[in-house]
Amino acid sequence: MSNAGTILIIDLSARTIERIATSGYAKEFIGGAGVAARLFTECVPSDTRAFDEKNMLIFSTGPLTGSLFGNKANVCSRAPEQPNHPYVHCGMGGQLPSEMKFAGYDHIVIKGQSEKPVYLSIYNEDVRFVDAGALWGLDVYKTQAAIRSECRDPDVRVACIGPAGENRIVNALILHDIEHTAARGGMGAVMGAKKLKALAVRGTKGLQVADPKAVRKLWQEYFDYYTKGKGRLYYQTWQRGGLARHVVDGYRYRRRKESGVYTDEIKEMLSKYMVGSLGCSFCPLQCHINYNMPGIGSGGATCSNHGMLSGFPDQQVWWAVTNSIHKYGMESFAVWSMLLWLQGMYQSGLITLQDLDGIEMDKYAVEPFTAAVGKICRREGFGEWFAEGLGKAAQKIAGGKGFKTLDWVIQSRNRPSFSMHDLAYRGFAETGKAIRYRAGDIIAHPYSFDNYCNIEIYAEATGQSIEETERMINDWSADGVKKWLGDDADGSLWRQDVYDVRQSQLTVISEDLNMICDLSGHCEMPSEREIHYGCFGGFEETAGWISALSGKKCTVEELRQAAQKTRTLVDAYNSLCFLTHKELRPEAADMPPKDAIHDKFLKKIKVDKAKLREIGDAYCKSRGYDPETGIPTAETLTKMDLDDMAVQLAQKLQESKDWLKPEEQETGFPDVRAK
Amino acid sequence: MKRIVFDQTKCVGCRVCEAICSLSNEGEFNPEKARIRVIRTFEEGILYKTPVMCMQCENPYCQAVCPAGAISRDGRNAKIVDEKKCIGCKLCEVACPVGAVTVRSDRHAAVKCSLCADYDEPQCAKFCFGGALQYMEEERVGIARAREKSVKFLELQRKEA
Repeated sequence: MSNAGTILIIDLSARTIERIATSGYAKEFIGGAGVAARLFTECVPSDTRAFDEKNMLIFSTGPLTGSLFGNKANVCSRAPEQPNHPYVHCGMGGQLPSEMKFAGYDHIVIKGQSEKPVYLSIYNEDVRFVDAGALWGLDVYKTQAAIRSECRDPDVRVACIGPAGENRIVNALILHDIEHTAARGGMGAVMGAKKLKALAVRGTKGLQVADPKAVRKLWQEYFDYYTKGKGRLYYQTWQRGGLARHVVDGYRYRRRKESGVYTDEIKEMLSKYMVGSLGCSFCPLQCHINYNMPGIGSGGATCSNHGMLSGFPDQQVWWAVTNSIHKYGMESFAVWSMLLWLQGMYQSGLITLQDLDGIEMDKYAVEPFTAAVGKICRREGFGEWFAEGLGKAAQKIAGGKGFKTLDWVIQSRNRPSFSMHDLAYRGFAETGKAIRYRAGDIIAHPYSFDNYCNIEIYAEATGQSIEETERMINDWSADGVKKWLGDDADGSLWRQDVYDVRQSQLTVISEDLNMICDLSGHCEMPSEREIHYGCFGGFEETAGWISALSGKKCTVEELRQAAQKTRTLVDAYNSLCFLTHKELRPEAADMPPKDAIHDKFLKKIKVDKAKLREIGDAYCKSRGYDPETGIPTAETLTKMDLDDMAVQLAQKLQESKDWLKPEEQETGFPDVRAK
Repeated sequence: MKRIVFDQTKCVGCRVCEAICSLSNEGEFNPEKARIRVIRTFEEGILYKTPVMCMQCENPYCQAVCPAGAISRDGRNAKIVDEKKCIGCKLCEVACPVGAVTVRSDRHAAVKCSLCADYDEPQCAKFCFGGALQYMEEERVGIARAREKSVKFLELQRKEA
């Protein structure tokens, strides 16, 4: 019952609308990314590329979406941002996910390609293809305003693309409201290839609840946890844009520890320019930020947007450029990396003013940077270099010398040079596996402690000293390790510089915990922290919420099985995609510079490759994957009732045996086995 | 006598009030059926949010215009709709100065906030995380407001002290 009950299938080529029941998929896959993965892998052949007509784009919600316990959607498709166009799902919050449920749809599947620009208008059962010719070329803010006005309904929820998506820039995103994005993988470019400018949804039917009393009781527990219990500190530090503070201050804290340089960019930004907080429907945290900088502009910013703020020399430039990247519909981490790389190339003389079409990129200033952003999104002049991403651009420009210089960006910014999403570090496994062919770096670093958690914020909130707070958080993390691995486990296993085979188990738990959020619709921000801080929203709570909402008992075991099945299905499908076309094999040159992640981004940690291999083997054993290739075994697939994948993979493995030879390649990923 | 007091500066626009209201009074999650609505307006990249709910007027127009005498005042000073008497004429909808009354065809009657007549206290205020909605004794409202407004002066005095 907590599912709306219907999957809406829209074919843009044939202009047809079909509705099928969710129930056929929900039993095995719960909802969200699980059902989407099954729908996708059933319908889209492995030889599909992201911009092909046969590629699909799926907006998926879970059983918790629309309730007080979660409001996340997943946007799923083949990802053009990656060299081999794997299948990815990326989260998007805001008001749209719950609106989809209230309109009666758990999933909206978009097939085919329209001949002319269109947007989809969905008002409960009423689904229409609307001409978007007049909207084509508009930025994401103007597009949404125009659609709200055209629909004569200010409450219509719109997800749309900007000019970058229309022009198939691989770092294009889908944006909803002023800051909620489906940013990973290049989903905006997929939407652009379909000539779909926007999805406008309005639902008035609500979400039926099987046991309102039980739901109210669980909500009371949730409320008490965050207002009186252990979660109070979490709520205090994450609410009202706190997520951004964690990100910026997290970098700041690390940098200060390393270099002794102390800056306070985010506090200043918040105090001077924050005009409100933003967030998903029915979430009390509202962790995103609404800025208004007089003379520069206003808009929304998420956590990842703030990644570049740390240490940036000029707040006005940061905001003006970030806001302009957003308005054009691009992913800010990736585009910022492009800009800083261009600047480095220019300053070093590897490219000239003529190459830059006369744009002086040697200073941090609003005009040149925003002009460059405009060129990138429109593919004008040097902007064309970046249509396929920074990695490809760096290979093409200045006789390939630019590729080596990607290091500069990393060194100067202390963060990865590519999009944060295509690095696939930490829990973002699918895209990473498609490149790396096995779980590689996420095994080394199942969760990244100080990327997210800033000691100073907690110290401020608790009134403790930095040292006391560090001890407190270390204890939480150690408790988390012991909770999952038993009291005999070494509490230091969460640390990035520790290599132990038992980390493979933590990775599996961490991945499953993330996946159940993607299946259920609960936000992973509090949930994934269960492993550190015992935050609310783990396996047991999620099972309880789904049971109360649906009136059907949902067990932790069922949830974990669905999570594992989804992951295995996605890994199998992406392996299949990889094996289908030899030419999709990523070249070593597509990878970030050697050691980029581990030596620069992750605090110059020395990687123990032998130990890493051992952890990787243990991980593959846990998942039922072949340790040599990282591909799910036929036995595992059959056991999970994924026989279709087992048959297809067996055939492709046979066909590929001539070129699928193990060889070690030196890339940025410590344990890569590109085959 | 208690009433709901709203502080705009504390509202983050999360809409928990809408969700808990519809769950508590309708047994489902449906903002369309919530007695409180958070009006969200985007203008030039800024989100403005304004909760709208029945202010439980002392001289309620909805009650005054009702031809069926379906709206009355209960012991908590909430204006209650008697659905058996309501004829669904929608005059109350038109008359309400804040837009907090809706006639619903599924109930054939006007629906409005009853201060959660079936519960000890209004659920929107009870579960408002940021404290933007508070259910408080009316004699405390004045001093509570004054205290909030005095914070700026207090800060000034602290600096000068």
